[in-house]
Amino acid sequence: MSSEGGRSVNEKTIYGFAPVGFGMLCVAVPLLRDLVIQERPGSGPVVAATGFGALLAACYIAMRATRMSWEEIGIRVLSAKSVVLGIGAGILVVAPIWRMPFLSLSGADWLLVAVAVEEVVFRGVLFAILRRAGGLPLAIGGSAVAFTFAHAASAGWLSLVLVALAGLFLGLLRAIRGDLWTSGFAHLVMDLVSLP
Amino acid sequence: MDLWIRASRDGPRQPAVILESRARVLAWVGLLMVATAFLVVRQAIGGPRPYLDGYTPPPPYRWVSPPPNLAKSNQPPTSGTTTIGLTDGSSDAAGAFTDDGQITVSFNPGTFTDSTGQTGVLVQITPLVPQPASPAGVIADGNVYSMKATFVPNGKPATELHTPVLLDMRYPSHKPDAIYRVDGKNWTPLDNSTVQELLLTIDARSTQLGTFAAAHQASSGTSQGGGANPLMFLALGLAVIIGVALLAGLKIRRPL
Repeated sequence: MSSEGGRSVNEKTIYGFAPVGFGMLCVAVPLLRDLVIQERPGSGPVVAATGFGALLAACYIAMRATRMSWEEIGIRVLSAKSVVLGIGAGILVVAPIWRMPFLSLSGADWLLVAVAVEEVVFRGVLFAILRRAGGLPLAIGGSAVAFTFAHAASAGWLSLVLVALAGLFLGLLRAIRGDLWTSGFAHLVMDLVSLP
Repeated sequence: MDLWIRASRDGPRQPAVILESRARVLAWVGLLMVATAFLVVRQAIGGPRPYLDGYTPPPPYRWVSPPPNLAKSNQPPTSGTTTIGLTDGSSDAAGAFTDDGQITVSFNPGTFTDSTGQTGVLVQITPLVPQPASPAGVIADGNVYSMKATFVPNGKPATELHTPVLLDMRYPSHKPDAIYRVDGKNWTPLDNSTVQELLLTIDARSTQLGTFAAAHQASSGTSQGGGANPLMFLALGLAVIIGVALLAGLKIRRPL
């Protein structure tokens, strides 16, 4: 490991460049995607696919640059406990039971892709980078802040409060369980209830 | 769960094993607190849609009276009917919508009641053709829809709503101020209207059925879709470039 001014390059990576660069991308790309789609609704699928692709590319570069393992970003073998806990958290804690009769797949064409990409980006790579840089509190708080700002173009200010709380909730689930499956399934249920 | 702490900014990190169980308890407590706050806030603002993940743009708006440039490609809007069941004289929860999805009306349980042995309530939603003219100073954003409810089988109008209904209307492109209740030449805005810009929908609660339209005051401008600020695009584009540069720089600087 080389050294610059008393600090190794890898430590500079952890403390500065990786969180800043990746954080900027995972907020700016979704915002751009949503704003462009608002301006040009007809190009939505292309813009959405490009945005998701760009985010995954940024994830890969950040993982390589910081020598991060799949395990570290929370990608592990799927366990029944994670599925049950995730769906349970989504239904029983966050999603209001009384809205369940209105649960619908209408408009959910991209839902699975969007949830998967968002989990990898926010609770996966960003969470892991921030945890290295400042521990779990920074990881939970920082990923929630980025998650909130990334939704700023598609939600009103009051709804953003909910998005922020959801970001904290999913970050805590990620911290407790250590994988992306639990927060992913909770996120999926929350979105399904929110869509109709 | 591991909890990593730093002795100093440049120092090594070590897993704080001693704090593991306490941190886990704290995380669970935090989780419950956040979940409670979520429910409270959600209830307070009545916002059912915090997310729009999986968004795909809605299909082209179907106009009763399309603008000239859309006249060729325009498809006529459709109507919709739904029969809501009555259980022990009280209506079930239900949703009524047009087949093209441009308007949806959600009914809570008990919205309609009956004590004369009726079996249901027929809800009909119809785009008005020709479209009624809006009063001076109000510009309609899309079609005007009539919503009527009648008891089944006697066909008598069901006009009394015991709980408000939730109206959800598509609009073409210009952001409306509100859903307006149309009563002849009087267009009255429903003051609890909420716009979902990305979905091009506006919703509001109403204590009565009748005729409704999404519309805006002429003084609120005529820009399309609320138009995002170009500076916003510029700033975000710059953020993307800087983010990519930082990540790319990382890769180059990383020791082999």
